[in-house]
Amino acid sequence: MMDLQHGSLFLRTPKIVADKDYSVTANSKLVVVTAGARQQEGESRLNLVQRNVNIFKFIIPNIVKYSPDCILLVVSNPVDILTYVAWKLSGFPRHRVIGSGCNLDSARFRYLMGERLNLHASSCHGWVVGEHGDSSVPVWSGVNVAGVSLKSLNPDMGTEKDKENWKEVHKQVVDSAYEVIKLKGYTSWAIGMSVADLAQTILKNLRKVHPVSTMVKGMHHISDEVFLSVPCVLSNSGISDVVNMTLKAEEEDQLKKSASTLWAIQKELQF
Amino acid sequence: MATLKEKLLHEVSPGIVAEARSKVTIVGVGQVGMACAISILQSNIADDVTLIDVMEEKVKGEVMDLQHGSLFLKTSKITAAKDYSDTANSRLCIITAGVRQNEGESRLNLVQRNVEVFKNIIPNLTKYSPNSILLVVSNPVDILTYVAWKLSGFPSHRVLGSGTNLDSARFRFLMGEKLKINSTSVHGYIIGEHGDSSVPVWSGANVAGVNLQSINPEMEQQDPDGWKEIHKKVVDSAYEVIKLKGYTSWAIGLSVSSLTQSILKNLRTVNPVSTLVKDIHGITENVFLSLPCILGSPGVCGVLRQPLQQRESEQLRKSAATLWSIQKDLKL
Repeated sequence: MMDLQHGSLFLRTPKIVADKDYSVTANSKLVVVTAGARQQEGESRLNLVQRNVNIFKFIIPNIVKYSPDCILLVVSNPVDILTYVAWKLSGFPRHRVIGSGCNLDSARFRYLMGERLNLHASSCHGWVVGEHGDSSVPVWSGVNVAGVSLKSLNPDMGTEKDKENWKEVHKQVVDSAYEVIKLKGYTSWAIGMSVADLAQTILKNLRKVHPVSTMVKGMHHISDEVFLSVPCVLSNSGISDVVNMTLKAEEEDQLKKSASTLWAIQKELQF
Repeated sequence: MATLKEKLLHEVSPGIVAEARSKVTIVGVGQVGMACAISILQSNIADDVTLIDVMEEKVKGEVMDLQHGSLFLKTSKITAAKDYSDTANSRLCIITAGVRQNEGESRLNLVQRNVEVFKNIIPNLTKYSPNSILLVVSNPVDILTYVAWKLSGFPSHRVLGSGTNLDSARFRFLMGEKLKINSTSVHGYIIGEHGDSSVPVWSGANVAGVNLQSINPEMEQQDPDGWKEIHKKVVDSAYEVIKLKGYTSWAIGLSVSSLTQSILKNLRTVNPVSTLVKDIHGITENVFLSLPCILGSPGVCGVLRQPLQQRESEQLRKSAATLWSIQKDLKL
């Protein structure tokens, strides 16, 4: 905190506070939860689960006590399961509990797409949805530049037949965290920027669409109470709308499969 | 067989490689180097940020992590240098590399360790960016800026140290807290050595032009409100933060980004940075100390003739003598 405060001259945030006591968090509009055990080299996100559930049992009720009207933004991994856990422990309505989910995966996808096409990432459009992890789903049919569908120019895109192997782009996105962790020990900058991006949309009520983790029961033929990333309209009340994606059969199957995998873990959790 | 890219994009200016015009190289990807990097990236002032360090995997990992945030940034090129040739044509080279201050260790103790590190770095930087500006952050910054100047052979206006820019920011933050006013509206300079013997220029401290010392003459002597305590807190700041979190990073990163902006954008703002002060305030040695300097594209464009009280200029001369006594024994 002290280090950040010493930079106050260069910032536009007049109050920077740090404490162990949750009372200082009172009346927060947005609470970002990053606490939890860190992914080790080679460890999959799902392995962290029970360790982090126990930590959340302490954190979430404390947050809710002091900021009963806040929006919860969960970043800790495995984010989809922990967003579910936060939702259960908080008793909040589902629109106020969001997981950072695939906001970062999509940002990585767009960066890699931009590298291939020599364009800035913000002009490359592509959505990665579903689980933030090994089974995330790249929606190839939506990938475009200026509305020009890349799959229409390269119908093999996303398949094994593709000579340009665009599938590799998604594989690199899935492997990204492991790669960076192997090289520098952890990831920080990209996820930090992606969370700031979500925070800005929420606090400034921008109503931008972001792929974030939300309760998807009833969508895409999913019947379990699981959280997965889908394109959501974010506002100062949290998730105000969800965009109905037109997915191919295989893409929808993948989502349903993720939902089952997540539910299989969730139902064993001790709350 | 046309690639997807060829089908999608109709190239209009083929073969023209856009040269970077505001390239910044950062040497050292420890906490300070990375804090500088993220601050510079988020303030959109460079079009190319290149990182270099002896730890190859760490540089690669850090750059990859930054590149993954490209969507949220406006800096088109972020590079992990494999060797110094990748740092070529930088306008500004920021040196954060060096051994870190240990808990309780004074800055002056780091000296000879860091001189050896600089003997590797500086000649390589100047070889590939002979027209760049060198901004030294590694501690003890005033001595290492002198070392960088000597090793580079650059004219002195192109070699500066981050110096007391951070001390002054901390000073203004603490004064702002006391007065319940935003630090950008509280003005005060700390000059001289970035360290234990820095000099707070109380005669200049003001809010809206109202000189604080004139309305509170006991400020320096009896000091019933504890103003002098503020300077002590600034001096102790780094030690405090290091004791609590192990190192400092955010504040120095933000402060370096602010200096970078002034240089790259030729803003000609006045900042307290470490510059060659021979023949100023009666100093006779070739030492670098912080004084209010005008920063722009050429580097240090000018030094403010800041009127100092007798005691203040004496302190500067004393610092100069202390620094020189260490510098003259350095093996360069």
